[in-house]
Amino acid sequence: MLRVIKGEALPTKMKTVWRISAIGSLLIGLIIAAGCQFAHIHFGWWVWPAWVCLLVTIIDVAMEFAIVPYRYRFWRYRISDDDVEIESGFFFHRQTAIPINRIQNVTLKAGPILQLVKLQTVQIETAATTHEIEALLPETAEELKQRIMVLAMEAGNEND
Amino acid sequence: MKTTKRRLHLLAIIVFWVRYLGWVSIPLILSFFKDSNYVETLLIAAGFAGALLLLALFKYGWYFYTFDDQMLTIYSGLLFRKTRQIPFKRIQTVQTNQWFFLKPFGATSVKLETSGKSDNDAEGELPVISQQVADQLQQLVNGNPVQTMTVVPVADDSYSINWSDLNRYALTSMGIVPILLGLLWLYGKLSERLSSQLVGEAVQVYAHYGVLILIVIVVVILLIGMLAGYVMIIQRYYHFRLSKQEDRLVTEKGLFQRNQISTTLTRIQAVAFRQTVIRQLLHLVSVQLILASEATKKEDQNNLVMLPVIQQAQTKLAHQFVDWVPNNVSQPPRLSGKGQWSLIRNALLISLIVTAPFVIWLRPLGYLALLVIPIGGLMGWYAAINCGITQLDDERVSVLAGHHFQRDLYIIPKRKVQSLVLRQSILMKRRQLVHLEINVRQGNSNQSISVRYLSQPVAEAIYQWYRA
Repeated sequence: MLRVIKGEALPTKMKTVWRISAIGSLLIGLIIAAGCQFAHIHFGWWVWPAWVCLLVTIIDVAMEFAIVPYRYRFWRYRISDDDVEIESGFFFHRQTAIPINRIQNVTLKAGPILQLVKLQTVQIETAATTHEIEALLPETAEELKQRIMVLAMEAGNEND
Repeated sequence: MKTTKRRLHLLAIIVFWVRYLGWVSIPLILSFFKDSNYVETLLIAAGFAGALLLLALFKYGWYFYTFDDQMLTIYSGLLFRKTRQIPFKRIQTVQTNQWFFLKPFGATSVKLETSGKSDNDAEGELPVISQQVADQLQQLVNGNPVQTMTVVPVADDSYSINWSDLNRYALTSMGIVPILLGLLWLYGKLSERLSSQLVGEAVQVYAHYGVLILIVIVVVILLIGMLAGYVMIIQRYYHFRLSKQEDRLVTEKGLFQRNQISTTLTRIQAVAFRQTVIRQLLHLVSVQLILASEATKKEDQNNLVMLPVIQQAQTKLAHQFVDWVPNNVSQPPRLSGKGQWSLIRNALLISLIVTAPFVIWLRPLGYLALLVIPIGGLMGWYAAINCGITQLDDERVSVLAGHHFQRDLYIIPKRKVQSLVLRQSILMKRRQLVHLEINVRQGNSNQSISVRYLSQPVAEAIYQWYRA
């Protein structure tokens, strides 16, 4: 039985991001495998490291591609006036609540792929933990940041 | 007040020097083992010590501090100059450590901590200053005007440990195990250094008396380890005293090193009632504070020990010092049968995985490993009946977490919970079980207090309570 999922999905472009990142893994895996093969030919390494590398890469990339729709389907976040909720995972479901007045700072960051599709990762830090919303549209991220700043001003510093 | 730059106490030179020597002591000692030419080694060691003394002198020479009634400023460093300004209002924890050799000189060392999270060390350190200045600083931090005379602060409430309680605390602390491991490690290191001839002889003796000698050695090591652990705890908590001064809690303790930690009540993140299985049988409990402070690094699992050991019936003593701790601390309801079984099953599975290789590859001695399975099962059962969570009122929750024959009952105020996480694997979904994780700040990092295999309605109720 599936839980009825509330809250907002990540931007749909995220699926593309995950696929690009899977291709990235493929490239890195292939380069390492090629390196092993090179070492086999020129430095007398065994043959098997290259094959193992190739196999692991293929399995990993296939998995990454296969779970993209699921990952997307079960990733949800919700930002209300009082708190931020993050929900993810189907096989390992995880649900987090972070009240806004516990948030110490918000970091927006974007790697090359996210920059390409114009998205930002939002990192939310409390006095004890760090949580991440994998990607938001820049407007949403900015809005969240503003809202937290305002609330933080009101709440004062009681979390030390 | 004057704002002339002050120097540290002269003894600070010695303290700096000893600290520097500490860095190089291990390679130096090891080189004595290796070299046959002791004179040369000794000369080199002396050279090092001299150079480090010079370094210590430099450090002392460029270490100043000043303070007025608003803030403390510390200047340090010659090549890398550092100036730190700490407003007294921001200081949350004051720690003083007085080694026994500092006492005759009326000197002490002071560490001051604010709520900043950037550094792992205290924000301000004055390695050795006179006790009088330390008292003045404490007064300023408390927000009182400085008197030139040192005044004894008035305690609103206080508790001093008596000898028999201290003795009980030391005897029931399971802190013996890490020390034992340390001794074993030391033994390993030493036996590496013994010459091979000696080892050869020893092997022959072993062959003669065999297992008997091995057992004697193990028992002796165990006894030494236990004794060392006992003495360590006695000297660390010697003359323990807890007092409440307005909005601050102050603990004092120690024989060789008198340690005083003064912290604001608002810094307390949670209170833990800790019982090892031995304490539980004797109806004793240790009360500890989870603090957002690094001052408690050396304490019992990084928590500040507030009341080392009290009778289970006396827990209202904790309420006297921290008023949001309930007068009567009762246990939360147990997990459901399904939840309890899951914990026992996991413990059994883990012990099976540990045991299997021994039984498969190390027969016949490997069969001894089978003993791990009942112990693991017992441990799982202990955890299973000592887990639970209950909401005390709108503001507080109490969590019981049992593991490794030890149980902690936490009282956690909602406002100190930084985030709350529910986790559920697909296998748990069918059985309506959820892991619940409460994140609280400890020191400069996170302590996750979790209840595993909680029934879903209970977990969801707590989640809603937290969000409300």
